[in-house]
Amino acid sequence: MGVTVLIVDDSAVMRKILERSLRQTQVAIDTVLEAADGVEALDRLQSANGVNVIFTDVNMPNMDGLEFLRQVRQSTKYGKVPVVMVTTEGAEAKVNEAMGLGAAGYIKKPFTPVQMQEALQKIVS
Amino acid sequence: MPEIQQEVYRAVREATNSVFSTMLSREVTPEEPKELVDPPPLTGVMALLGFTGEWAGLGMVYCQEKLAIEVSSTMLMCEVTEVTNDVLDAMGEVANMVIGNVKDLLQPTVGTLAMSIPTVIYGRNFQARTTQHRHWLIQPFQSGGAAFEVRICLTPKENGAG
Repeated sequence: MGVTVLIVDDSAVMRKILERSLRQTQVAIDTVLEAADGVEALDRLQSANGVNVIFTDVNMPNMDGLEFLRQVRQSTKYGKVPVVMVTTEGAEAKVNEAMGLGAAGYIKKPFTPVQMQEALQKIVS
Repeated sequence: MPEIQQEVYRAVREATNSVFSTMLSREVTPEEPKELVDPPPLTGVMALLGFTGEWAGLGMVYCQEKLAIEVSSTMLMCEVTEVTNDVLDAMGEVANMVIGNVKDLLQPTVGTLAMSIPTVIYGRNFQARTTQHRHWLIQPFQSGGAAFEVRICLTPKENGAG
C-alpha cells in the first residue's frame, strides 16, 4: 500500500509538476491531495483519512507555508505528519525558521527529481 | 558599469540558466544587457514580482506568447496551443523561480529582500512602473530560437521613503 501525499502550492502548474516528480520516485504513491494555500491545506487535513507527508510552498496568499507548518505542529490530530518545504525562498532566516518549526526538509526551487526522491525516501524509510 | 549593475546581470544570468536547465531542459544564451528609463510599452506575456526591503522595486520575466506556450507545454507535459490560465500560471511560476533566485543571490549585497507572489499580464501595449523607480536593467536571452527578457528595477530606499 502506498503513501498519501498532500501538495500545497498556489500554482496549479507547480502542483502538477510536484505530483509528477513524486510519482516518478521509487516510493509508491497511493493518493495525492492538493491545496492552493495553508487555509485550504488545513481543511484537507481535517477531512482526509490520514496523510503521510506534506510538501508545501512558503510564499502563498491567505496563509503562507510557515504559518501552515506552525498550525500543523499545534494539531493533536496531524501534528506529527512530516512537512517538507518546496520553495524559491532561500533566505537563511526562512530556512532556519522552517527547520526550527520542525520541517522535515527544505527543497529550493528549481528542484531535480533526485532531490524529491531523496526527500520522500528519507521520510518513508 | 557600476558594480551593483554587474551583480544584478550576473545574478539574472545564473538564476535564469538554473531554472531553464533544471525545470525546462532548455538552454539559454544571454545577449548584451541594456538599461532603459521608462521602457516603451510591451506586447506579450509579462510576469511581475515586487521587492521590498532596504532596496525596493520589481522583477519581471517578459516573452512573446509563442515561448510562453512552449514553456507551459514542457511544464505541463502536454501540448498547449493558446494562452490559457495554465500558461499564465506557468509563466508566473517561472518568474517566481527566476526572480526568487535573483533575490537570494543579491541579498548579500542589498540586504534582506521580501518578495511578492507573481502577477501575470497578457496583452498589448502595457507598461509596468513603480512610484519611485523608473530605471530598468534588462537582460535579454535566446532559447530555442525564441527571445525573452528578465528585467530588474531595484534601487535603495531613500531616507524617509516608505
